Amino acid sequence: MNHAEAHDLLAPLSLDALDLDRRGEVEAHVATCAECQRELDDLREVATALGTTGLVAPEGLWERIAARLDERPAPIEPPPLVFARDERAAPPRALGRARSALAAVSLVAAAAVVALGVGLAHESARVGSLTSALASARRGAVATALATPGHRVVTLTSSTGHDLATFVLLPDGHGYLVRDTLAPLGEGRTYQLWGIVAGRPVSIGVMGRAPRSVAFTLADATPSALGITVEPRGGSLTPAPSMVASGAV
Amino acid sequence: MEEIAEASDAQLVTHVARYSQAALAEVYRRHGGAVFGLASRVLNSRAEAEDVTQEVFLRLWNAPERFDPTRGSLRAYLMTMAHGRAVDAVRALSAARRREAADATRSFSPAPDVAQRAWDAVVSEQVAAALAALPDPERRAIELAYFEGHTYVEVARILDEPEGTIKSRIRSGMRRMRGELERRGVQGVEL
Repeated sequence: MNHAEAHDLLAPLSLDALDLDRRGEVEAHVATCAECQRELDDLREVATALGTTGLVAPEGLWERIAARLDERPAPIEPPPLVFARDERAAPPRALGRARSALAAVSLVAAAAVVALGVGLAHESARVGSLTSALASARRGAVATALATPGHRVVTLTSSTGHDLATFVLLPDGHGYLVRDTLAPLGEGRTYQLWGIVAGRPVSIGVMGRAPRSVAFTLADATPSALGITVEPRGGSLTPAPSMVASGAV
Repeated sequence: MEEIAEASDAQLVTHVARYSQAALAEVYRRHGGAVFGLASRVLNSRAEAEDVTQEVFLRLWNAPERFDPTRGSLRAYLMTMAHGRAVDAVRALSAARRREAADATRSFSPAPDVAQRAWDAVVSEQVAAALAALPDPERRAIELAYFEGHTYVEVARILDEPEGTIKSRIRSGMRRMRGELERRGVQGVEL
């Protein structure tokens, strides 16, 4: 999607009035365009005014929120100032399982602080998403993974809170993309999956322009979070400054 | 806690990043009602609006670095997130379920920020006036999209108009809203 097309859709986007594909395409453009970003931020202030009611939150809601505050992940450790290849952690063998083209990218720790969000799917939402994930899972491997004891479901959300991708991780280190709503990228770009290990982003692999079927194997290091960036085709050694989606493991 | 009460929204978020629950409570006092109100309006269900509100504040707690004060107000950040989650939920529900889920949105009684609440009341009054000043077709398109969670393509189908027409109505309506709100002294709903 070019600048003019994306710019044309900023007002509907500010009202969340785009379908998933178009939303993804416009958001992918906005992430790289300062002018559209400013305009969208501005429109969102107008939408915020539009959504302002005089309502008061119900009694007891804060107490329920407060009760969940200790469910937070351990803070991410700041990365060391300088480092090169990390020899200690075995590289996650990014495998091209099934037919997906999941090229291996060497394990390189990046000297960048990556802001990570946390998937906040609460229990009922989690059950809901799992049910529909099973329904839409075409590959037996994903269904099997979702039925494996000890599996973990990781939801990656955009900075605006939309669920963009769901992965399932197995205790043995295998991981699969369950479903995603990532918009197809233009020629020459790819989505890349990162794991945060000991506070540092580590490439798990490139996912292609329009990920549909992705499988990977993590070696002994379990990431505390997963994140997806948009990179030039072939992938990058260090992640782009802003993640398209991220979520805690 | 006097310090916290007087901190700007951006300062509060830096305290939240240091795991200050008091700071998050203050953010909630200032913006909890608005977040809940918007979620209620879109979802038409108190229980689901509470879920969305919880998610929004837990997300700020878990990932405060995602709020970038140079890009806009904290209110807009929280409301954008709340609206996105609410719309995702509403689209996942069947139309029938939406109709019967009208358990409505009453007001409730904890102790919100009084000044903020008064300001919200002013904003919502001014917004109602600004909306009323829009040409009907623009207002209708914006309301169907924002409050009922329809995509602009669906709005076009509902109103039996070309998609391009609805897209431009939303765009010109939003631009006009911005002008109207500025004229009425409501721009940026920051503290």
